Amino acid sequence: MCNEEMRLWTQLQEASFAIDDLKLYLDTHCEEPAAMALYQQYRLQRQNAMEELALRYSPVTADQVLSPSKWTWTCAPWPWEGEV
Amino acid sequence: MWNYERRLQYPVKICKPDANAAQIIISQLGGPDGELAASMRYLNQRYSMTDRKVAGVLTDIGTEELAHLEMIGAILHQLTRNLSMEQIEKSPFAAYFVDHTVGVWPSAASGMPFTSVAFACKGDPITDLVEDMAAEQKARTTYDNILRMVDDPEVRDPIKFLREREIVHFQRFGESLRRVTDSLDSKNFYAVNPSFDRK
Repeated sequence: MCNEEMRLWTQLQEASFAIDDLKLYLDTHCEEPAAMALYQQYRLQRQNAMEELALRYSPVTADQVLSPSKWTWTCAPWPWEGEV
Repeated sequence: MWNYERRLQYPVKICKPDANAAQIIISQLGGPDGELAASMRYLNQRYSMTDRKVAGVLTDIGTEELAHLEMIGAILHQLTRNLSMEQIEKSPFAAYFVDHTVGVWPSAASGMPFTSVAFACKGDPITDLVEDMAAEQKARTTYDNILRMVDDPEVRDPIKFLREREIVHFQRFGESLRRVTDSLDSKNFYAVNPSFDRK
């Protein structure tokens, strides 16, 4: 995997984890502007990383296969293999 | 419903096979206080949880535990896929190997298969949240015990991440319990089970 692709997966992982953690806090603290602002920031970062990964390298979810002819969902290594 | 993303919540990259480490870490897969038990507790408790915000906590933490289950599966797979027969025969892992080779099957380190008996869903919000707080501490202690016995930094790293998450989950369940008790009769929390007694 090239450095650029690795960078995008790292960005996706970091933004997604930030959301995972914020989400649990926001579930019981509904009106916290500071937490909401952070959530929106990470949401955009995560969205951008997912879109760029799907466009340039490989789909992150099965509904991101962009090719009209090749089912790329099962082409790349799976995350438990320890390569991604 | 659930969607799958082609990534682990936190990376797992283990180069060195270790049958002994696999033999103990498997408790976090199929043991009484492991990730499968945790996710099944929370996801099943959601249905009778009348407070929507707390049902959200149960949904979100239950889902995160599925991601942790996947990390443990990845750890076990990477610890065992390149084992030699000599390494297997010298380890208590040999007993697991005879039935499962290096497949991943939910059981505890003792060999006891995964069972729902390990957890409770009582259909009472206070009881279920106290169960969940206990579950997170039991998981944290299990991770502490794993860390006493594992030296490889590539294994310790994801284990330490998982241990930290248990502590955060404990905090969130404590807040959820407070939320539930705040909504009940302050003179007697136990007068009514909101999951069953309708006004």
